[in-house]
Amino acid sequence: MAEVEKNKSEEHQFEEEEPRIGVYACHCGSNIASVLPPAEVAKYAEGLPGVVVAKDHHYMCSEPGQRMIQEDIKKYNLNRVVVSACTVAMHEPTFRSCISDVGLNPFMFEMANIREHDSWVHSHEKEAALLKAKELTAAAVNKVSYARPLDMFKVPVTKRALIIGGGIAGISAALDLADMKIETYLVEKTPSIGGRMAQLDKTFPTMDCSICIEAPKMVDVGKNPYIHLLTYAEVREVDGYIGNFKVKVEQKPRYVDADSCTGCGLCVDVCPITVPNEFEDGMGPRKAIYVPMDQAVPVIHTIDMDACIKCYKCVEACGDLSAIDFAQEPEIIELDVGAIIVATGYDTWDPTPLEEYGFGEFENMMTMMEIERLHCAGGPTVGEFIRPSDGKIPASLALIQCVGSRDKRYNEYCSGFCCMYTIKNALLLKWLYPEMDITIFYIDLRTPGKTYEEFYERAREAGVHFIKGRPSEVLEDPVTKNLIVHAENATLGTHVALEVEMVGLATAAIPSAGAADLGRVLTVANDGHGWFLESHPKLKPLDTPTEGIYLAGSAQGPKDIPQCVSQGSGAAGRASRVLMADEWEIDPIVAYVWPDRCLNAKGGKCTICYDVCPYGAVINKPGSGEPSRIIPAKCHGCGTCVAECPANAITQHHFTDGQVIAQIHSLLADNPEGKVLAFTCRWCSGMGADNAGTAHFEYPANTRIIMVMCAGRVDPDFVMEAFRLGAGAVLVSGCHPQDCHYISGRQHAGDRMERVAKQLTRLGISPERFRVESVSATEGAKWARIMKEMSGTLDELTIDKIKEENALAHPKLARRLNRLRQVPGVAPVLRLSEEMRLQGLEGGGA
Amino acid sequence: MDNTLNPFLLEVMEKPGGDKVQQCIQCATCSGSCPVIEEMEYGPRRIMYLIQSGAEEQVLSSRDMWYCVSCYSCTSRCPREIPIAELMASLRELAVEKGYAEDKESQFGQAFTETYQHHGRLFEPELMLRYYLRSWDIKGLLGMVPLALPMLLKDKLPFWPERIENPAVMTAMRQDEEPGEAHSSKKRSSWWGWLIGALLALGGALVGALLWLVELSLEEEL
Amino acid sequence: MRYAYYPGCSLQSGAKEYDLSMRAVFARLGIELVEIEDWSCCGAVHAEGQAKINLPARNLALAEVQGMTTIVAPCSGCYLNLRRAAKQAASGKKVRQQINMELPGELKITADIEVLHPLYLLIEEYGLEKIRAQVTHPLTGLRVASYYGCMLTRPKDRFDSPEKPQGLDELMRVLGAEVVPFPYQSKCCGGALAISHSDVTVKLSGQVLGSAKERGAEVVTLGCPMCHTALDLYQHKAERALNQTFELPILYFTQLMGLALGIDREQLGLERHIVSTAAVVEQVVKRESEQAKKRTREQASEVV
Repeated sequence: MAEVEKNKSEEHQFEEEEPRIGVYACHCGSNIASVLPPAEVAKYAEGLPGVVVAKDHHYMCSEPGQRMIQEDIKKYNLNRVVVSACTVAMHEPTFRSCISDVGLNPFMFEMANIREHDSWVHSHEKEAALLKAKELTAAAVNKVSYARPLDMFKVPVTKRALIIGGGIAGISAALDLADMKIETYLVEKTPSIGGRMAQLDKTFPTMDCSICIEAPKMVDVGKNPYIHLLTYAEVREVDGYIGNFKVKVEQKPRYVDADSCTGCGLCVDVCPITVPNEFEDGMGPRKAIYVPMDQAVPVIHTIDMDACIKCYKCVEACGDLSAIDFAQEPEIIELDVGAIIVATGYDTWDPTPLEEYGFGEFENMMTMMEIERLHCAGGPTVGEFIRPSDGKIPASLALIQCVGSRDKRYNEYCSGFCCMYTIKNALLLKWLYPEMDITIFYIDLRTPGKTYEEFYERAREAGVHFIKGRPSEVLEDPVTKNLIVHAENATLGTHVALEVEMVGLATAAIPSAGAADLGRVLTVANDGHGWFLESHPKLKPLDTPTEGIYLAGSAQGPKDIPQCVSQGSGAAGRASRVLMADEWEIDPIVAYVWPDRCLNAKGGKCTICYDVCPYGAVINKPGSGEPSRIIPAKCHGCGTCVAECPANAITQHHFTDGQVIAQIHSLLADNPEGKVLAFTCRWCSGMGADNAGTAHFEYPANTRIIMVMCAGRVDPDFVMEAFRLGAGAVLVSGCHPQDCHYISGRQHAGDRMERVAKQLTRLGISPERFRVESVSATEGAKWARIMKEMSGTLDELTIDKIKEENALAHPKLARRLNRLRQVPGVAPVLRLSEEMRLQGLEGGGA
Repeated sequence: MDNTLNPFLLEVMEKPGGDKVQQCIQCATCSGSCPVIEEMEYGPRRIMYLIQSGAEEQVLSSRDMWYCVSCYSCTSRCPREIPIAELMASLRELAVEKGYAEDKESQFGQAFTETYQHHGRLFEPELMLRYYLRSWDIKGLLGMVPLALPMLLKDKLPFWPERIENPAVMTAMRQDEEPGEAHSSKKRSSWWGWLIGALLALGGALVGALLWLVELSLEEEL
Repeated sequence: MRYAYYPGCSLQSGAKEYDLSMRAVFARLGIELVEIEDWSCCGAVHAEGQAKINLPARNLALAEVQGMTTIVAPCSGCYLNLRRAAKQAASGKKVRQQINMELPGELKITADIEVLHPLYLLIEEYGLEKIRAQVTHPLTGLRVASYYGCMLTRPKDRFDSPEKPQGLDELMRVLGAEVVPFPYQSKCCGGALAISHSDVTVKLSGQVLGSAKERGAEVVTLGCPMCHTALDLYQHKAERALNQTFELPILYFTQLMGLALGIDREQLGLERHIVSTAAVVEQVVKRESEQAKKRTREQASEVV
């Protein structure tokens, strides 16, 4: 394990110095300023304890904006900075480096999100939005007052890469990394690399033979000394962190010895078993012992044990090579790598559920991938384009676009490349069979891409018919097996009933099978459709939120070949930044055990922190008298152990109990009964709330958000304290449990909050005042709905009823204070808050 | 954001089935699926577009929603999940509300409502009477007459209405429309409806019988 | 098994035979139907605004008063309306309160109410195998086109496909009939416009009948009184308009079930149809007597 520099705050208490805080409110052009005046936020902030200077600026993130902060730090000797602007996902790194450039520790900084969480969602409640901005800023000021400087951890880097998926994106990434002399493992789940591109006949718009241009690259991968090819293998476990991943790959048994097999194919000739060939989309046959295609890399045969009848004819045919080995077992290969590239590609959607088209029912109803294989010279018919019902070359063909794409019932996104491949197939068939009558039914034709529009023109020139109108239904003539495509010709506004001899469906591209499982193994989120979620759609399209894991190709969303190649190279570049470095800096926002508070230090046998940690980051020796300890480099900083610790012996840097309680007190200082306080994780729910902002889904402005790293960090004390202060309603929201960024943090939060809910009910708090939810990063609408519902709850219950309940529960809730005060760092927060409250009362009285 | 949308669109969006109108991308699946597309002026696809562009008069004075047979084919196939059939019903309501409704089907709807409000259940002879009195659909009436005798012979036309205990509850429940219409039917004495209904049924049967016989004899002659 | 029964207006008048056969068949199968007391019109397709929910909701509440939470509604239109209201009432406390507020008097919906069409009740709750075991007069060789119409399967619900439904076909096969697939099985018959735009009804029902006839059907079966009107009462009009002879008897599935279960034909209202059902009945009887003879012969040969 890496020797990691310890943080100052652990070694010795950070020298207390009076906070000198600078607060900066951003206009974000008119994004914030059109709803609420940032100058007033700044003016308000000037009066907050510890604030030395408060200003507003048109664009805080701009060079002049940043310079203003830097100059103020020097001029006013600031030791902490708060920026009230947009989401942390956008500019936290910007401002951290801004202040660290002038010598301030980057963790002496907080952001208040008055854009996504405020101006963008409360444009109809301008006054309430301003009040919210002030309170969010006050909460950030209060939190930063208790901030401590933290140093980045430095970890060593294993100079090896793992690429998952051997399609054209993975191949491109592997070759680029190999060029940089970085040792690379390329794991592919099928017996050969090549991916979807290998299945295609020609590529648009150049009409190159697809396999002819891909095969040389496949061969290069096969013989490159820096690339270790693991085909017919799948990634099962990933542990560790950037620079230091430990990966377990399962090598599935081929029942053929990879070193002895020469790929001669004598075994195939004698194998008596024939099954449908997946590579031909099930159309052509293959044997039980097979290579998927002639150009396979590696050319090692594989026995499909589900089909094999163990006649051992292959063993005989193999003779002295003795490559066949029925005793092979699955094998786990352990790899140490520094970076991972996910390039798992896409599958095509099975159109059976779209019953109106009769796929699977009508013989001559094909998917476009089947059409592709049918006219491919290497395909099951050796390039003769014949229809299944009678083996004749169809005289007419209809191609239907957007089958299962742009369709909210199935996949609501546009799959992007279908227009182009449909046009390609039409044009290609026109070349092969000029007499064939080809009609393309479309909703919109989308041909953005260099020379793509010209390609579409060529198809029109070649006589392909285009009808704007998504077919409503396809019927079959039971005698001729011809298909009748019904549609409205939307251009003319007339009904079309076009009889054709064959139909091809341009089906949606969907995430490849297993993408969701792999997402869990990697703890990388998949979006609502199952595609891997990039760190930022514009600026970090190749990164995942987990550092050291990158995306390439269609794993992130449907892409055509040039895009996949570019992304493969791009991801290789992103990975090489890490792999070329000797060491890498990682976030210090980790958990820390106060040794003297740990029960085990007093001879206890507590294992809770160890049990809840999904990363094995806790050294736990119950009964030994030794306190538990957390290995910082293994800790991902979810904070679940912090919230679970029965002795309050664990804290999380940058999210200490004191800091969160400070935020709670700021946000509930005024009119607590009329407020909904939400605790969110930083990833799914936090980004979901941001998403509501980006999409401008309005919700009531009496809502306040406190963001922690994971719902797992939300301590029951936080919820109880919020209710003690009189909160109208409290929400704890994390990822969907299966998508939790910290594997099991959300799960533990759910279990814990269930207990809290019961306690609250016993205290007489109406159950609808406390909710636990899951909101993904793409569920902005859901976030807005929950906020609306919870705010509605307050109206329904009425403030009086809430106050009544609070009054009843207060004595019991107040009893918890004594215990809370003993948590390191909490007492001063409570003291200050009490002082301010009293001052406020006096002020109010005067 | 809302004030950039036209008032008619906003009005439609408030109605059941209307909230997703903006989702329409003119894919034409609805019009391709519609069994009565030939009877329509625009068809559901273009109706969507007209709503999006705020063409109130064109939409509400068209006959399209009155020809909708509520088969739900468009709804079930719409890739944007727009409940088009439901929307068509809402357009009928809007057309009545705003005084555009002229189609015979709108008269039928009114007659239907009045009849079930009258008895709590439907009473076909009265429904017919109310409809033909409203619409003066003589051609339709003549077309119906030959069906009346066979119906009577097969006991398919009741002479007496089935009533619920207190038909007033039918109008007491909120209708979301001008109450005048509903109340006027309540005020009417309840016996004449049945009587005239029964008379009409009888009369219809007689005329039907006559016409039927004439027709039969004609057919025989031919 | 005991269910609340909502016959709906049509089953009291024009579609009495559906009501008769339904009651007879369910009684034979041992399913008790308790008619909802004082039930009222569901509003069909003509109720507007909130009435669309309120009118059916009254009947849901009445069923609850009688202590039943599952309602059988044999008319597809009533079924859809009642089911829509039931779903809405079950969708949230607030919505339910709203609905209850507008119900007359003390009526209230407090439970989640299930509304079923008898066809899917038989398939899902009763079980086709149990029906098969009770078939005494199998409809062997009878070529039946199952017509689903619209509101039985659309908008999409959990029971069957809105495009290629199977339920009625399966039931017919269980009764021993030969199912004739035809592409108009779930296309609209135009029944909704039968009075105001009868030309549309004639055209659409003609298409349905023509398609069934073309594929060789001897009888069309269905479970909706409005479709029955369009296909039976309007059949002669359609024949005249298309200049084609259909002579297709249109039987409710409950009537065919009645025949197959050997229920007294008097109870099935078979004489109430415009297009004569005599041919179908005769065929069933003839085949049964043939079967009976065959059985006797077999028994005799066994004895020998």
